[in-house]
Amino acid sequence: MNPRKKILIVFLLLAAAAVLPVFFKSSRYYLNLLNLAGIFIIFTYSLNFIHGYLGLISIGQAGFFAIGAYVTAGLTMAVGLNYFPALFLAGVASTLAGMVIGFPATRISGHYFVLITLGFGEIVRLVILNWKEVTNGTNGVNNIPPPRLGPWVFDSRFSYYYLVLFVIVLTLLVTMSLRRSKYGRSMLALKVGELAAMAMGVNPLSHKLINFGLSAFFAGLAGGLYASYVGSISPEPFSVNLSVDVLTMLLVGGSGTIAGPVIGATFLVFLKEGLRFMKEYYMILYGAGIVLVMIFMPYGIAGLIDRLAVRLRYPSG
Amino acid sequence: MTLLLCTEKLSIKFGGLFAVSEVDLQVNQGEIRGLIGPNGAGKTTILNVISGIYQPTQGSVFFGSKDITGRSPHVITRLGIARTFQNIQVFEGLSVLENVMVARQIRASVDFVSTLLKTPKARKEEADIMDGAVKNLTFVDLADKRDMEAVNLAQGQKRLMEMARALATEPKILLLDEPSAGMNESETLHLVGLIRQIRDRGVTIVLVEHNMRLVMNLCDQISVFDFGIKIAEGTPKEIQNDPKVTEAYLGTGNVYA
Repeated sequence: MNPRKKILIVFLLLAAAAVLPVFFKSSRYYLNLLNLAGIFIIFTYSLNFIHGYLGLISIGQAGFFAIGAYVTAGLTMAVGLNYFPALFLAGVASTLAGMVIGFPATRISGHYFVLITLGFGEIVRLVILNWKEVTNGTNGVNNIPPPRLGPWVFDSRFSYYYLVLFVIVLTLLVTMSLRRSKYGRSMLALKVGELAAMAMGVNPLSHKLINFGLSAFFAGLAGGLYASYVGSISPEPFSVNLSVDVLTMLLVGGSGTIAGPVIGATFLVFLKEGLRFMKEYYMILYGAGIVLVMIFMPYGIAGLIDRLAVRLRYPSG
Repeated sequence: MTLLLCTEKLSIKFGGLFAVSEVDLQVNQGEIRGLIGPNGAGKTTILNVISGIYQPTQGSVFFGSKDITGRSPHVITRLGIARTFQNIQVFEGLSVLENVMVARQIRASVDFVSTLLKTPKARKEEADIMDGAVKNLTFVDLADKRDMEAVNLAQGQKRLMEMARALATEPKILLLDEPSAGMNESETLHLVGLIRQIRDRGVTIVLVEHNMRLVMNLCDQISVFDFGIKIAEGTPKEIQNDPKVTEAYLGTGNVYA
């Protein structure tokens, strides 16, 4: 597909996304699911930077999400800052955290890298849990105010949808711009052949740090959106389960693709909800489903669609 | 003649074994130097040490008057030593043009945020990178394949693309590791022409090669290795008549039967 066609498709899909909630306006239940899916889309894109561009696996992504959520809550409530600068600063705080852990993490590869990210996620959770003076410990932070921008207050599920969509578009633009830039090319070169890339003059450390910072920034934004959407946060949901969830969304949707994070996050948010009637047994079906996806769709749903599209165009293969 | 690249008592040990042992190599500016020897003689290892991929156990590498021993590969490439690989290293998932662009952007300076925002300066830089890469591809006759996925190129074309990629870094020295492997007769002929042109542009060339006809045809100086030791050095003619070289390749004349 040529890039111009791709941009047109993305544009049409965005237009569809913009009118989608109008059909669900009366259903608070579906609007809620759409919003959660939207937040997870941004979160999944954040992991796509690390896995899609560097081929590294992080299972500490919840740590950045939590930093984003708590910094947003803290800046709007304790400091009294407007939500939007607070959200941006939350992203920046998360970026700094990403670069700090990126420093040791980028010098290490494979399983060790995964363990460092796991450790990071747990450290963030434990700090939040135990730094009671600031985070209020297990009781969490409640009554986080909705975002305000001049006359607009994003206090309904319907209005929040558009705020989330706006951040999704931002994330999408950055992802697409990165792919067609010197930084994106160098990262992809590092992903498939680190030594060869270095031999072409690519500095692995600086590119990995930038990548980590970018990933942490968007994970932080997702966390900040989550905090004011849900209205109260506590350490509990920011566990390694959340990191694994977002990794699953990325792999099921298709890592390293533009559509993958959207498909994966939406699909799994709705699937989890659809399987809720099975109570705790849903994990069995959910787990089995993910195993099947990994076996039969190694490049995720987006990869499968790509392959099917090629087969439709050239019927006999 | 000016000395451009030299190694002093360069040794590298893997486990208990010396893959390269006390090698002194002096390459002058503008020459084409061939490194030959039987398999396992340590030729590729020497290239890997020069380009910073391996750290030597002992000894040093000088580029001009600069000691570059143990520097990181990306730093060495920036200084002006580029290379190709024996086991072709194509950046999978990138097009032919993008493969070359990765190397071409080595001295690009626009910062990350401006690059993402695609400011006029960033657009200009990106256009320059692309133009340069296209020129490098045109040089090796691959410009018409620029939008292909690089992994889909034929073996010989991949080697040419690697050469374009190395040239895109604008090196002073080009290290070629078995550039003709997997090429047919006419492709090899094309390759020889290209290597001469590169040299005529002022780039010094060090190549590891098994195709003797190519080596004898092309090289000004040849260094011969066996078991990590340099056993002979000289012009193609001198090498062809050196008994030590024949021995390394064919063994001694003693027959135990």
